[in-house]
This record gives sequence, structure tokens and C-alpha cells, in this order.
Amino acid sequence: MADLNKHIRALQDLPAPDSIWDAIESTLTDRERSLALIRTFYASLEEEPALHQLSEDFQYQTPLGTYDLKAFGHYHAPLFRGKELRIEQILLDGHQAVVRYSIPGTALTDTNLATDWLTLNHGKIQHIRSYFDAAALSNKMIG
Amino acid sequence: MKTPEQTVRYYLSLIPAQDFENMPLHEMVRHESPYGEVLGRRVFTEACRSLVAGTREIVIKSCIAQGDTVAVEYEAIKDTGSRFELSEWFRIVDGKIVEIKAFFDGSRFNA
Repeated sequence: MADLNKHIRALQDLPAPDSIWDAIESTLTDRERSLALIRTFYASLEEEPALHQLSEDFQYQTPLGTYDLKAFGHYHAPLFRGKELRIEQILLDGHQAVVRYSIPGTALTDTNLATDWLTLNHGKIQHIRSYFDAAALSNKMIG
Repeated sequence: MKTPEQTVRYYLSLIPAQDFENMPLHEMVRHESPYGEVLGRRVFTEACRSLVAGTREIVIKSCIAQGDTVAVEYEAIKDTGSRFELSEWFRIVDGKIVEIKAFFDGSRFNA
């Protein structure tokens, strides 16, 4: 019985799950944290988790125009709904990253790949400059 | 030998002069862009010659290098003053560029 009480007390002393996650998170390096942020964003582009990775003053600059956080959530993110975005490569240098990716099975397939340059600020993505062939995309969508 | 980043910066610096002879390109360099894929130094330089004609300046906005890979974001400024933004990924082996993947909006290339 004494042993059982000892085990119960030990269990009661365990940190709450949130604290465990915080403890794990605190062991990540800045680089790992940034990569996790980027991967989370691209893994859920059309969903809420992606939007949570963006800063309030977020700007998304593309050949088709520049979008703020609200416009990105309303008009751009839904384009990725149900699509499997595949990250080809990520390079990271401090607060800047560059990501090359493809989106199989969409109008972007013909252009195949896009490259985004990201600026990170305080654990959020503040700015994305996206490079892709908008001309081919438009032709495909119209055709 | 230059680092991969230095190799790419040197390559870009030669574009305004169209100095293809001295570009650190591998004989079997592969170039992918919205215009398609070309293979080999001779084919690539011939394809590029008209595209880069009239380029007055290359302005590098961002550059990240990691291992044998270098990503660059830059502006090509034409003699007319028009600016064209693009992003390219390079792979370097033994000081030579063996692969270039270019990302840009084709409709703006000759604007």
C-alpha cells in the first residue's frame, strides 16, 4: 500500500500535458523551430493552422498581386484545398528562408514548381514573395 | 576554388556582358524554366543569348547557400529600365554549375 501511495504521488507530481509540450518545444533550436513553422504552414495551407503561422501584418506577394492576411485567408488559401503540396527543398538563413515546392494534380502541375522567399519574425511568417509562372497557370485555368 | 555562393555570384556578374565563355558552367549543365528544359552548355548558352540581351545590371536581393545548393532572388534590369524579378536554384559540383532551376512569370519576361 505504501508503494501504491508513492506511485500515486509520483503521478500527481508529473507536469500537465501542456507543460510537457512546452518543455519539448523549449529544447528546439531556433532553426528547428523555424523549419517546424514552415513545414506546418505548407502542410495545411488551406486550413486554420496555416493562418496561425502568419503575422498580423502578413503580406503575400505573387505575380498575380499582393495579398494581406485577410485576403490570403479568403481568396488564396482555398485554392489549395484538397491538394497535396510537396516540399522539394527548404534553405534557411536566420530570419529568411526559401522553399521550393510542387502541387501535383492542380493547374500548377504544368509549371510544376514554385519558389517562395519567406521572412520570419517573432515565430511567425511575415512576408512571402512567391515566384511561379502565372502565365502558364492562367492559360491552364482558362483552357 | 570558389564557394558555391561565390560561383553563383560570379556567374550572375557575367550576365550583363554576356560573357558566356567565362561562366562557370558544367558541360552537361541542365536548365529548367517555364520555357522548358535544356541540357548542355552549348545549347543553354545559345538559348540564353537572346534572353539576356540588353540586360544592363543584375541586382541580387537575397541569397541562401547550403551545401552544394544556392538559391538566389534577383532583378535583371534592362537597358530600357524595365525590371524583371526571378528566383533561381543552383547546384554546384567542383566549382561548376551543373543545374539551374528558374522560377519566373513568363508573361513579364520581355515586358
